[in-house]
Amino acid sequence: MECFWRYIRSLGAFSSYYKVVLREDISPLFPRHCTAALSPPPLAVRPTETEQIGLCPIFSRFPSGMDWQGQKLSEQLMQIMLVAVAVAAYVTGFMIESFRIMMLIYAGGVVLIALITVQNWPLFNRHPLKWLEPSVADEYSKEPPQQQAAAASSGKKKSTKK
Amino acid sequence: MHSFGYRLNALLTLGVTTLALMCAMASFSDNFNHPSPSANVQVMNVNWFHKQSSGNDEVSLTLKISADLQSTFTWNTKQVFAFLAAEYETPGNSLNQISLWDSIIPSKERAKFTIHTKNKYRLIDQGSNLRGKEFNLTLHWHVMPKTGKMFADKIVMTGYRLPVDYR
Repeated sequence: MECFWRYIRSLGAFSSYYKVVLREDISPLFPRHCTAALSPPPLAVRPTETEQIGLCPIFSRFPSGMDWQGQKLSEQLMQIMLVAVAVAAYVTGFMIESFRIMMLIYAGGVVLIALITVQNWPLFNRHPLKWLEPSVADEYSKEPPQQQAAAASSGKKKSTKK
Repeated sequence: MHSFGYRLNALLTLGVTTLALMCAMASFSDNFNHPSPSANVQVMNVNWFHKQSSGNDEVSLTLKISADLQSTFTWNTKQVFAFLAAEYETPGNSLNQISLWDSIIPSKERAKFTIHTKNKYRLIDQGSNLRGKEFNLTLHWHVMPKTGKMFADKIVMTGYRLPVDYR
């Protein structure tokens, strides 16, 4: 029974985790000139180890292994490289008059792009999110879900005092 | 781009779409090829010419077929299918087309050839109209691509005539 309530509380903690993750001012899609008007974001409350494992073991770290800037870089790199490889393959095949060479260059290019952009290399993790210290996070996670908003705002006050 | 699987899916989908586009462009480039083929057929011999028990005429020919289809090949060509058809008119049908011989030409080097052969497929009329018949021999070819549109064309050679009497 106690495990059941722990599970319910942990869902609340997880929802605040997602609210921070989806915030517009740290999303790569949000225009830069608008961020000045926004207040600094409340620091994220990282779900504790038990809650993480209770929900889903694979969320023990940020799911993609890349930070936001890294994801944007990965996507752009993938799209630009793919178009470049396709153009290079077609032009080469047309010049040499070999359909086979076109296909080989393209297939090799796709494999190369997969190795570079799909795997979460360190270069895609150069702007990681800042998490709270574990001791502070523990304080937050022990509170019931409806007080999470109050806790987050008090967390914001704490950071501005610094 | 949230996870490994998401990125892999995005790459593969975009990759396949771009591949489809490349194939479409390769097929489109075939339109800029203006082939100039040539062909010549000689009827060397009429082997036999009789009326079957069913009442239909049949004739067997020995043909010498020489053709140059090299210019029909492009970088997007898999093979060229060529066939020779005898065409003539009868009171019953305004056009009769009978395939006498065909061949698959797999590469540009083999597209220039001269062969000496009996007709591969039997020339049997619908009825008994072949005596003294004037007919055309038409070389058709289908350029089968690796991807995309197939082009087909023909050369009509006129002036052939079958014997007046059965042999």
